[in-house]
Amino acid sequence: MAEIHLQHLTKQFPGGLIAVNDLDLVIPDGSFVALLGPSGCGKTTTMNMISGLEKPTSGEIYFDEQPITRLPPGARTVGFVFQNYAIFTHMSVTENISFGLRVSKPRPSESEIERRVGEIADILGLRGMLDRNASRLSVNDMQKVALGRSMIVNPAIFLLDEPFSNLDAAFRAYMRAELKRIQHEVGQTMVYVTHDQVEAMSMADHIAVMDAGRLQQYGTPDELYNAPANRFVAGFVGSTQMNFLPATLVLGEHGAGNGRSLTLGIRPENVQLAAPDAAEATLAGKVNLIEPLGAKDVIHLDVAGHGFRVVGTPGKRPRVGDNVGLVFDSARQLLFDDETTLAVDG
Amino acid sequence: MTAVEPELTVPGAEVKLVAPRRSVLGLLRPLARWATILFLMLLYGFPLYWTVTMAFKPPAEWNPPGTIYWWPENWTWDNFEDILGLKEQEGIFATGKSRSAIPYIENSIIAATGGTLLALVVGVLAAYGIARFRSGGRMLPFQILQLRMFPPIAIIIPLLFMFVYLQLWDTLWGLIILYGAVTFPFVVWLMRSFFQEVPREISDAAIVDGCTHWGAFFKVVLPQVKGGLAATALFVFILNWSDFLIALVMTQDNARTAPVFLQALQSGSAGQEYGKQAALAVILILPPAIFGLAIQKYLVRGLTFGAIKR
Amino acid sequence: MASVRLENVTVRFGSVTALDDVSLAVEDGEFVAVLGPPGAGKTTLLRTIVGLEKPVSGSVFADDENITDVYPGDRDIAIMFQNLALYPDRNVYDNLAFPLKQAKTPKAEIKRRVTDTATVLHIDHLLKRKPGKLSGGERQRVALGRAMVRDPRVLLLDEPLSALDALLRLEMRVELKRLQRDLHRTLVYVTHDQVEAMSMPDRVAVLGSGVIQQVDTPETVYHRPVNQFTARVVGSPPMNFIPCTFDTSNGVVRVLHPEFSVRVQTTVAAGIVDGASCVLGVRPEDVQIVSGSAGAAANVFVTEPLGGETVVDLHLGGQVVKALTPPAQAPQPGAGVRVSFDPRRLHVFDAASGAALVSAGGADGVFEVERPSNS
Repeated sequence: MAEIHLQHLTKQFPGGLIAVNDLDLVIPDGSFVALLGPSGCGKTTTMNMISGLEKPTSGEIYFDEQPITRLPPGARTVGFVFQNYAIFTHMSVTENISFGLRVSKPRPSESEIERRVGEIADILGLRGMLDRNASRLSVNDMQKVALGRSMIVNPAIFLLDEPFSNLDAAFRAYMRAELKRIQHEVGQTMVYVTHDQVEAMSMADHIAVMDAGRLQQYGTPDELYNAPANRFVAGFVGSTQMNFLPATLVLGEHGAGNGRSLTLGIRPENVQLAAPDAAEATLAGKVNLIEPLGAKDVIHLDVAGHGFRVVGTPGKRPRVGDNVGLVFDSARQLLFDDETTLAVDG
Repeated sequence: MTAVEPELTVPGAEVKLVAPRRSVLGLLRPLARWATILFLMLLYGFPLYWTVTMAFKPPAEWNPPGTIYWWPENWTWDNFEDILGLKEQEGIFATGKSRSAIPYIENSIIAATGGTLLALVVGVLAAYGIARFRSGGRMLPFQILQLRMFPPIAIIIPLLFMFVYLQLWDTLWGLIILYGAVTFPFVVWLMRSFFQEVPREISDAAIVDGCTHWGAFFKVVLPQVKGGLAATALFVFILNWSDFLIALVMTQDNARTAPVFLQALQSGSAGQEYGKQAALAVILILPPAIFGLAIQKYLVRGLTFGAIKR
Repeated sequence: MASVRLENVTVRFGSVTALDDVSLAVEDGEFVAVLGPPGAGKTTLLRTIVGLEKPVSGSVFADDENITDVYPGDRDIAIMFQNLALYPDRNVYDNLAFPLKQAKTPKAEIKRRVTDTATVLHIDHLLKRKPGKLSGGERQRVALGRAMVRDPRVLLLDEPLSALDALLRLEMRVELKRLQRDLHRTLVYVTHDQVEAMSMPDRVAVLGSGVIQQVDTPETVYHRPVNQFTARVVGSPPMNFIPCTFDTSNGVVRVLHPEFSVRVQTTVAAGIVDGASCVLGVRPEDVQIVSGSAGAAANVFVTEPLGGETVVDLHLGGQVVKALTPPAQAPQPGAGVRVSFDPRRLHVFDAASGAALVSAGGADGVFEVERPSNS
């Protein structure tokens, strides 16, 4: 178990691409942190530097105050779970899980190995299939075995690189809750790389949002969702993307930043539809397209030439072409500076 | 975006990582590395150096007892003139010009090129069939490779009789057929892996777009493996070009190739004619080298196929 | 534009049956999504329609013309492959022009149609570029353009958005739907993503293990799934399945669970055997966390905040049940809560076959959720 501290971490690839740019991050001992961002944002490179697969161009990595930047991957006691479950299909589940112990030196006694395998199998819910051949498992169980393989060596830090992206949607939803429970039970520091904001939001204690090699925001899921630091985070987090409309700051005659160009951001679920001439309506729009998602609808509107989305209930569905009024939940609207893209208070 | 400090991007950063253990040994390491590289370069480069310089040495410097000429003392084009049949013969029995290697070089060019083309046409089609349609099942590729496991000398005697009977012995056609047959397995194996890298959907797309299977192959698939095709062609051409054994047994004079002629360059008075052999060897290096340079840009792609993200 | 129809089509690869007696009719101008997990036979279905796979039995029709034995290039059906399969050595213009050239279209006509298609898809500024120099979204448009440029009878799309980033996927989803509506194409769209299958098409065909499970509008599939398989593949997080037993004593049909019971209206519950096991299906958004002592007792073991809503993972009688709540109402992990279900949104499935026995489908009075049966 360990705290991870990344200090001014920079990685520049030959050819000039700066994959990670001056990254400062503290991952507390025993916490579950997600590195979230679009592909090419530097999240995988960051993880590879933590594991030692890549050497940083500059900066330091500390595990519990110990600088480990120069240590080879094998000496770092980190456990990996990859997107493609690396398991040995010619071995049984027990053999797979115990593999790390059997090759470790000094090798624990047979009874000790058996005890540890049993412990892990209980945590993962693999108890009933320990003798089964790994090739006969479902894809979903294979990923659990892969998890068990890394857990058994009791690494100080757990690194997971999009481990669920090959699983089907239903099992992914199940594993999300499972992994969160497992992490609570074993209490190891987990770093989870994903491009899926739903996974990051639902599991992590803290999320580091990255884009173009830079840290955009580091905070709890709640902070990211309700108080995004900049426009990128606001647009990236949330299953139906935040609406953005151009705005101008009007502070009265003596305002300092009067006329400053801003962007108003509001989440689709914080807008209500109303009659086009309703008094409380802030803006009016025209229905362009309706996406039914079962439990809810996403209604696409045209608001003064800008695309705009509102979450609707399937029972009260407008028709395509209808004119509607929009009522904003003013407590939930955000402002972003157009120059810096940073969130503006008030 | 702030600029990264430039000195950190140079390879010196790696040295910095081993800094705590830096010592005399650490400083010697790059030195030892360069010394090794230099030694290997000399080791591999020396025979080539010796051949090229030998081609310009007069007979007295070829192989005199007790001395070694590291460098031609008296530069001469005599060896080349001799080998190209431009030189007046000397000696008691000499009549007219020297014996020219040009007809044998011509034979070599025709046989090697013809054999290469034959192997490519048959091999590329076979490789596509195996890669795309799994023709012949799982074992066929191995069976084809197995053909190459035979040392040609093991079957050369029956082949000799067969070719004499078929009247293909000592003909260029006979050589072309043999060269094609011997190098065909290489073409199949190399091209199969190149074809496997082309997504199946690309030829499917062409078929849905209105091509025939042949059309899809020539218009869409083949252009994508041209790098691999170039590399394979060069490899096979070099094999055929430098063949000695088959040509030695299967030809006499009419279809004799340059490597066999080169071996036969000796005379009663001078013994092995090293200078002339070297001159011919230098000439024989040229065609593959020129071929290689001509297709260089495809070669780089062919050999790094798959490593490049497309 | 035209219709396309599969009649009792079976496709086998060696001993593996990829499609098993599949029948599907797509109307002229209709947008049908084929939804199923990986390995369900979705891609094989498309490849059979376009003619790249031959059925061992059954027929394929386009506009009532039997095209089962017609060469792919002569079917006038276009396909966009999952890996896009652009011709990497040709620039965008030549990629788009390729199908037209094969059809011996006059040069001027090729130019006009390529330009038109490129304009519709906003790739007209990229015509000189090679596919390797394009972004994922641009490449995807080029592949769509190459399929559209011939103006084929039917357009088949195989997971067209799967290679894209989440945000881009969102954008393309809307754009594709708009494009289909404006151009009025007959479209068959294969996906494993239930959001795509719910939000875009006119109808969804749910495919599982080579068999068509259900073909209907997205809403019907969502609210009246015909079996557990269909109920599971649409909706996220997926529907909760709670093992129960039937009780038909006293002339009242009930679905019994140790923690609760659900009364079923007798007119819709005909033919149910007393004591038979069944599965109660309830979607996470229809699991309600209630105050007071009403409802079944459950424990919160994990909460998953999604921003706009929170998934609450509950232990209900030894089983995990997911509930969807507004973030403000999400209980703390470890808390004991009471849960109830929206009676208009319940489903009862046969435990053995998975077939839906009763679905409320939004109607009142079909089900009634009762207090724990022991009270």
